[in-house]
Amino acid sequence: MREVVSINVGQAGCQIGNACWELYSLEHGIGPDGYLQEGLKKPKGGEEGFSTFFHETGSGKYVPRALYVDLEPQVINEVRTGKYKDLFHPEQLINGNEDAANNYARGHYTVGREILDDVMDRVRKITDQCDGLQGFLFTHSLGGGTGSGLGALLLEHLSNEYGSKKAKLEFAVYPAPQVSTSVVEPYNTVLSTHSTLTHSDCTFMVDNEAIYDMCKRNLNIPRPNFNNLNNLIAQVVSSVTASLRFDGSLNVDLNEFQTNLVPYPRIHFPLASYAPILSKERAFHESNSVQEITNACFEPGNQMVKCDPRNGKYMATCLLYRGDVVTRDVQNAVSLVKNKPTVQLVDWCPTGFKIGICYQPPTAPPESQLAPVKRAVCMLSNTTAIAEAWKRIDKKFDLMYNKRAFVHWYVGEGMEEGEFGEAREDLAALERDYYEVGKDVYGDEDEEPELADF
Amino acid sequence: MSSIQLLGPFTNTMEFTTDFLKKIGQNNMESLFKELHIKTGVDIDSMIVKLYCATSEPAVLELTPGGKSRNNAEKSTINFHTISKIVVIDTNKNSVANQLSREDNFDQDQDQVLTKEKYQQLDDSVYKWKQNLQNEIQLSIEKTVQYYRDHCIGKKVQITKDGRVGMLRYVGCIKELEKPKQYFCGVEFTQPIGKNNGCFQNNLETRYFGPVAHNHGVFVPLAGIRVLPDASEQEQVQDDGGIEEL
Repeated sequence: MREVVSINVGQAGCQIGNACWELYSLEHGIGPDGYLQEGLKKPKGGEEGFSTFFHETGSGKYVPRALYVDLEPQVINEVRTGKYKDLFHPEQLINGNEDAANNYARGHYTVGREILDDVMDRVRKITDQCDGLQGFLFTHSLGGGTGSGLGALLLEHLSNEYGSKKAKLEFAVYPAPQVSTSVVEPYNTVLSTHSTLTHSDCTFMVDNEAIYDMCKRNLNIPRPNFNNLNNLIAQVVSSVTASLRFDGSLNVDLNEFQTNLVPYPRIHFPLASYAPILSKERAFHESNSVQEITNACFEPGNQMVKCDPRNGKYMATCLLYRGDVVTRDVQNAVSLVKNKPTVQLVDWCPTGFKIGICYQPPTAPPESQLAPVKRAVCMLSNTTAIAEAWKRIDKKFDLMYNKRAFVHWYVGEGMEEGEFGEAREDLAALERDYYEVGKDVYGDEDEEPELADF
Repeated sequence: MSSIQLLGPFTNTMEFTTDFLKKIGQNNMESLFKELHIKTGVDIDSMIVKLYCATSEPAVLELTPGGKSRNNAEKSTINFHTISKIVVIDTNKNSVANQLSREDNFDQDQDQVLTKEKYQQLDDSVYKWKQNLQNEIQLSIEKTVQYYRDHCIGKKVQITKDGRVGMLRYVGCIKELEKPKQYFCGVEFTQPIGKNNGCFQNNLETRYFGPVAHNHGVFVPLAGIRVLPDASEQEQVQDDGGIEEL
């Protein structure tokens, strides 16, 4: 048993959590009430894999190993009254009554602290049900107050209590370049990233704008709403976790993501891409061969964060295939991709393409615009191009912090102003880290060809 | 649930869900202004809020915190569920929000936040880590050099890029290149297929091996050669091959 506990924090985190658990339930044949769908004798996909994410009670009901945490009641009340209300144990849904008002300091210090002990108690209860806990899977946003502040606080405490051996993976919604939810987003993001940098093992970033564009362009949704966005994010989360949830696939350990993707602890922000993203109308006209979906992963339009990998170098790449996929096709597709001139690898470590194959095809939820497909791939690549995203947010931070704009909102909650400077410095170091990591070790400033004789 | 666009004064587009309006409750303008203040950073006193409704007849409602509304629709007719866009205008020209919007191209020098020197002193930086990595690589190169010197001088080697075979005569630096950490091999051929006579650029004062006949010697980078197995070892290899064929 290698259990994984999901923790969803804040509005974005909880709503993504909803989309994910709905998808997991469909994939494993669990009804909204937590019981097996009619006609099934056991959950789909093998019991061992399944039990990493679900816990079976004495009465044959399956309960997600998950926790929902928010500082205000509204989003969690929707879970309590929604379609999947019976799936969760009431103790898994925790909310306070005063929101974080888009303020990291409220989530991290004042309001968040009050709820912390309660949350940690519930986490303990869930982990007590596990025989061999692998680690935690976080979903939260970086721009809001609860996700950034309380999310970071929880990560710190989990790190202290469970030690570094339990993997902590994050799916973090990153502020989009053009669209924002509040003016202080850059502050929250920088502060939260600084305080989680040493506690998180691997963070998959998702930016709303990138997903928004995919919904518009690929799914023909003229005005995508958050449900559309979250459904798409859930497909990615599901692909990443598929190898943990289904038996007989290649990537079986949460720690392996870190081993395969993170060459140095601070450089732990792989870029996720997903293909195919097709509307039902378009699906009939596409063949979606392994070659095609693999190539699509290298196109910026399929990425979860807006940045251009052609300007960066790859340090590591994982390709996680699902569905009707043959190893030989994958090998052919990968060898073609490797020869693309736009795919540049760093020279200081051998960049292998780690392949994962899970034979369970992806599931399209009934109300989703996504077409059901026979196969899909999720690519996780650690590329230096993602530093663009940090640069963008750092720039916005500087613009405001230079005038000390809105800093009093944070100081008013008992935060010290010094934390701003400290956090920003850490992010500057991260930017420089990305620059250094992309530099060649062997090449120097040599102008002569490598192996010339004389 | 649907999302609504919110245009702030200096951030490009802001977005939020109707949840936000539900929380406020119908026509509770005071909490609406408060919430918009948190989201946009505009002071309530200098705020004008325009509500755009996506009803069959598009309507715009303009509100100020004083309660006065200049509008082409009655306040009472506005249904929060039909709002499609909210625009917040900051009437105070010197407010922080407006100042920030004028300086959108602001770009701070990276050094002001963290200088290169300070970065290089950080313990957990990639810079330090790669330096250690580089030292390790250098160390392994030096090990190879030592091994070649002790065991391979006089042995047959092959230049990997073109397959020429010769005898290893020298392993070490070439002073004249002024690259103290780069190592080269001097190779002697039995035919005039090289580029020198054992001297760097055929200058007799910079002899590294030999003397060998004109064009019988060459220098190649350390990584450019492969040591061939000895004659006795070679026979063994051939023998093995023979067995495999049977």
